[in-house]
Amino acid sequence: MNFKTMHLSPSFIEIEYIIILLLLTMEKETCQKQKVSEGKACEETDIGRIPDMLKETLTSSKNESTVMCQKCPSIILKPGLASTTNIEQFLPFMYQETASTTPDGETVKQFWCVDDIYSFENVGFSSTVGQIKYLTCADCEIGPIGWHDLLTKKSYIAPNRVKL
Amino acid sequence: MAKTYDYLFKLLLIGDSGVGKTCILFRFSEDAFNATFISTIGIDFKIRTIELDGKKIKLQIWDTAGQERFRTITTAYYRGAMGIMLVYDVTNEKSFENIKNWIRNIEEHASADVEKMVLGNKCDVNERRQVSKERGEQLAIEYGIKFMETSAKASINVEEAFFALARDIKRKMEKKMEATNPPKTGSHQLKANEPTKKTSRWFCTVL
Repeated sequence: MNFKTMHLSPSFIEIEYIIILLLLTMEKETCQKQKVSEGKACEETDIGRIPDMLKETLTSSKNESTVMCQKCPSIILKPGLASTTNIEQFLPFMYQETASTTPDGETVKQFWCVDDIYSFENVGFSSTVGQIKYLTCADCEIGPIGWHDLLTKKSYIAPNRVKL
Repeated sequence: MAKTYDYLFKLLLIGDSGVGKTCILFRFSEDAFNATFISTIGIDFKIRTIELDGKKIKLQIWDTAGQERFRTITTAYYRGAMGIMLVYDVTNEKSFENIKNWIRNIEEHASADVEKMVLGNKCDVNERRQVSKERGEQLAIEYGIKFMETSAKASINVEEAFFALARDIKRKMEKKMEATNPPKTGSHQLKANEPTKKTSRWFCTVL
């Protein structure tokens, strides 16, 4: 009897293994079918879809280094006070051909978000335009380096317009 | 998140237009970046961080943004101001004479205990000087206010002036705090942040 049970239990594990293997191969097959029909790599979509939400929390990291002005030695923000945020905002270019109230610009999609305006080391706030104020360097006044939302009181710095 | 500063002071720049108030807000004036979208719409205020006796002080400095042209600096502009820089241009007699009017305006609209300082700007332009340093000093003595000659262009005394004004406000605040709660002198501003800290913590444990 003893021998039998000892023999039985490994066989159970073996069966479990076989079932798992079967399930895995079936899944792989359906994946491959999908791959053919959609013309996409199924592994890519599987991995890509789930961590999408996770990715946001993982990548919304704090600024590791001091945020500085691109043009002068002004310190804008000390490390660890802003977090990356995906939000879209149109910003006029820092360099304009002619001074105008309808300037050329670009839509920036990722910003450093600062909750409290007093977290800033040195920064300038423009006059109000609609619901926002534009941010500038406090020393040489180059800008917009970002914007401030008057409703949420949050400030956003465009990473490509400052020096990290 | 813990506060990143010990004190927060709201400061105003006041004086006739053209005396260089906006330039006083620059630190590296030679690097000034002109003829852009920003200079078209104008700057409302700036946040600057300085350190005094080991304390981190945030200065929120407001420019009148052209309001002074209409001589209608409103009470709203003065609200909450703890320090005022009265600026005149040493090459412009009229701007100096108007300092008295500005002081009267402050007495009417600003809080009574606001710290003031007189700045004679553009002191690098000696060949066109109309107001001597002595006259500036005399006026300041008359009103019991501190005085400095500055040049935003040549970076003379601008930072020093802000440090001096901030130091006076800090001293006044510390005296007040000692009078109201003599024992421990912890920053009262830290307390204001505690409730939000608690709520965010509570959310964390639930999640």
